[in-house]
Amino acid sequence: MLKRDERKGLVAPQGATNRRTGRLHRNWPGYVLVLPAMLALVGVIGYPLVRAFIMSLHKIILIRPQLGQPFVGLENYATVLKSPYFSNAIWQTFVWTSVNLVGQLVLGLLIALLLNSAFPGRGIARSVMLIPWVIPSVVAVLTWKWMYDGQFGVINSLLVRLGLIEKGVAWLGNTGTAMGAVLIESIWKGTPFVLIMLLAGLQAIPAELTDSASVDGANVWQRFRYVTFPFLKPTIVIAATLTTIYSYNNFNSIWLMTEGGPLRATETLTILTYKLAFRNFDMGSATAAGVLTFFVLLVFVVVFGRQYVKSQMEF
Amino acid sequence: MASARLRRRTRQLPAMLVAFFVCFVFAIPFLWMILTSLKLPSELFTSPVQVFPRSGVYWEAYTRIWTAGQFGRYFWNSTLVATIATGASVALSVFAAIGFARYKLKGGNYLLLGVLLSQLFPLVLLVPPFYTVLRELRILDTHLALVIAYTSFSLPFSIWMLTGYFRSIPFELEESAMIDGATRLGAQLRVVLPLAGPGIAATVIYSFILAWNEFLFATTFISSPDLRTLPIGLQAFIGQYSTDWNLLMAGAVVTTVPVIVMFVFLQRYLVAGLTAGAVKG
Amino acid sequence: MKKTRLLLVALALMALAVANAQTRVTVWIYESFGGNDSPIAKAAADFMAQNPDIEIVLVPTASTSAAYRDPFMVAAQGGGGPDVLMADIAWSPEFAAMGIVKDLSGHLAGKEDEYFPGPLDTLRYEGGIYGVPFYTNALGMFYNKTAFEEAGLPLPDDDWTWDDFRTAVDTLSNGEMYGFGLEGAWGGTFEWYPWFWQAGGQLLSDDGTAPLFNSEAGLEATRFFLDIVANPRYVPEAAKTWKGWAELAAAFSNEVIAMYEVGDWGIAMVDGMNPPFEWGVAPLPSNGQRASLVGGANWVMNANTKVEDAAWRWLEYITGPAVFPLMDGYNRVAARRGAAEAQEIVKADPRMQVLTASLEFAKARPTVPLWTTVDYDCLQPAFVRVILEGADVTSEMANAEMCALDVLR
Repeated sequence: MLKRDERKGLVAPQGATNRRTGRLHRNWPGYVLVLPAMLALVGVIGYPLVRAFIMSLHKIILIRPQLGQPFVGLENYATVLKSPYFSNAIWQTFVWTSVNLVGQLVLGLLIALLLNSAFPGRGIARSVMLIPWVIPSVVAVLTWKWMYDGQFGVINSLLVRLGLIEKGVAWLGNTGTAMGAVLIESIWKGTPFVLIMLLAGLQAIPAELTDSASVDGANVWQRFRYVTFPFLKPTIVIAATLTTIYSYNNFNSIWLMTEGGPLRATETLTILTYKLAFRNFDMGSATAAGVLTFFVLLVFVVVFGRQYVKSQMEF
Repeated sequence: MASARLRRRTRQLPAMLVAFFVCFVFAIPFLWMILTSLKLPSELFTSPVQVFPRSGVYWEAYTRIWTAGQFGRYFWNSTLVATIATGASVALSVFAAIGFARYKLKGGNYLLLGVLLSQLFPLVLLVPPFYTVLRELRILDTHLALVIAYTSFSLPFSIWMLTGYFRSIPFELEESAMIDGATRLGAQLRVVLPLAGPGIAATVIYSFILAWNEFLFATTFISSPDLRTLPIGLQAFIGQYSTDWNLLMAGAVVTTVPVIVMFVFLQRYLVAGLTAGAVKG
Repeated sequence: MKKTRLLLVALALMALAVANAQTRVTVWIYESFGGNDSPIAKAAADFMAQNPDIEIVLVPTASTSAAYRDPFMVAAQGGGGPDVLMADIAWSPEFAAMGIVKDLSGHLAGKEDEYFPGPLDTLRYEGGIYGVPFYTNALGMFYNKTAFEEAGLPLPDDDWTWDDFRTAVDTLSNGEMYGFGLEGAWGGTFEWYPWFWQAGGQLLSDDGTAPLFNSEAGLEATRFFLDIVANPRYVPEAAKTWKGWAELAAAFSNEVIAMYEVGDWGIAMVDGMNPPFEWGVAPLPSNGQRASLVGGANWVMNANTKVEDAAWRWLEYITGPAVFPLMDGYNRVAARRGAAEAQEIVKADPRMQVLTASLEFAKARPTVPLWTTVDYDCLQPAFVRVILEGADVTSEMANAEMCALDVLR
């Protein structure tokens, strides 16, 4: 049980030294350290965010400049909430984000554990696994779209040769298969990111812990459950939070493959927002849809974030 | 000795085979891109699908990308922007993460959550107001604009990653360094930073790839052809009526490989034992 | 008196130009037009030799809407952007409505007759003319001549009809080949317009506020068109996701499809794939009256430009007689009258002649800026439901009409 104290030290950010001396007096360097990054974030992202929020309260239809940009309060929000497209988009976003999250996390974790074990060529394997993430996303998506093609796609040709289907299927062109097809691309592209995070997280686990656990006769699952997982949990929570956000914001995959179709079967909120802004030129409604989903995600992040803070304290 | 090594190798064999199989599956689209870039333009779209080049390997795409457009220049621009943005992002996030992980800041956890807020809004809607800001600052159509944007957009990930990492490093280490006479920040930088190798490596990879592949900002804020980055250069091969697949794929391969090679060197910082060993000592 | 003053002003301007830097005009062009020794770069050099006071800076830019249209919109709304740019005719009404491009009707006064009316109409918005036509094209039908001959079908000519087309599609769809192909990712509305007009349909009321496509004529055309498009024997499954001309050209060259609707840009694409058969170009089959769809590009001027006069002189030059040799360099047809007689590529290629002849009766989509929305949000879903779900054309057109009313309201 010698690990008890060590672990506490590992995870409790507030050391004894901190508490003994006055908080602010001792902590002003902390604020100084945090300040530059915060300034950058507020300046570059905060300001446009506020501007976007203000836009959501105005009627801004770019192709009707003669209307001016009158203040309309929450009217845009009402319009968006009433639209059947919005509720469809909420559902598609839910499917899209949750399948992405689970898929990337599970695959990422399994592969991270695999690539964390020692074997010859591990460095090469790790580098190769990074490829999907490094390929410029526009090209990656176009390549997948082509591979999915019902006539010229290598996927169909393979499936036909294996006898699984009789003739080519337009995977992206049918309402039943489009979402699944786009999800596969997106999970493929996003898994390496989760993998890198978890691989880095795995390095923080003191080797003697796993070693002593295996000396104690713990099997693979027990070692994962009682040693690896507790240590990895904060990283998993971060990875989950970020994967959720990035999947939600993933525009290229869907847009370049299906533009949200067919029949809005892949129209997530991000796609709907883009269409409102750049196809209907209704910036007011577009920003309102953006703000609404901002709050949905915010709830999610606060819940996850709490979990993160808790996971740092609880063991 | 030799037999022990052999035994170890044999034990590692299954993991190796599985790993290489997984790698192969994940690399299939990339292999398809390479094969595509090497086919004659007339062999690209065939029915039935033709996997390998039939009438000889077509290397021409790899020479043509350098003459069509200014791929060399885009390469340099991307390298410049991505390197500076990565450096800035890592520096800012190391300081911020030390602040979050090593000091008890009032509302620190909320601030940490707040960092993520910036990522919760569709990017396409931030572009128009962002454009106005850059224009007022008179830095539109400069690499500085991209550096600022990429640094800021990689900060949330970097701060979270590093904060988590720093928190996992015991305080005792830093305190013992302070007893040696170092200032607190000095102790933190000297002791904590080397231990955070894997976290920093992950941050570097993330920031670099973000800047390397970003399209939306680059296409909106940069208008001079001389200042364009690789994703914009690649977009040029996607035409109004038809896409030049050979060039697009060759361009993408050439864009991807250097980053992977860079990672082959970087990934040793992701190796187990580095932290653990140091903690033990 | 007036002349002398003008002369004085001109002289003063020239003196200024010599004393100061040249007036710089930034020009966005499609990437595919670009390059240092491209025809348009040569045209710019000629222009600058004649107008030493003006410097033309060509900026080739990828012409997808995400890399071209959107950045220009953001830039122009934000007070920046190039001085003039090429723009797809479908973007022109949107730009005009947003007020981000200049009304050039003052400059164009007395010169309107120099351009084909179809392309010029795409620039008209609320009494103004928001650009200058540059090049134009019309849809025709590419057909596999060998397949027609082997099937014993008469070759499509100027007089072929809807029935001839249906018979050909049915005969050519023999299990190995499909009779017809199209950009189905968009439900096929793009290819549908000509059929609709041939049936005598009108899309919108003249004031642009009321949708009229759910009419007798509209239903007749839509039923005829969708009966073919929704038939999996006639059109390949893969067409459901096609939205680029490369796939269609490849499907045509690989003998997957026997016919498709396309404009002059398709000629070089199909030729480049060396199809192992004879092929030809016909006008679209007629139904008593003829129609085709206008495509192409215009020049527009950024409302923010500070060099309007210099920019106009460039537009005047590049759409003047110099446009004919220029467009020969790109295998395109200028939107300037007399193109058919003046351009070598038309004189040399009978296929181009067929397509150029179709310009006579080609129409543009409505220049109401919200038409794109009607197309995307109302017509396309209706078509896709008919194709994917076998929905009923009559009820879907009624739905589309309701939807359009809502959009245009």
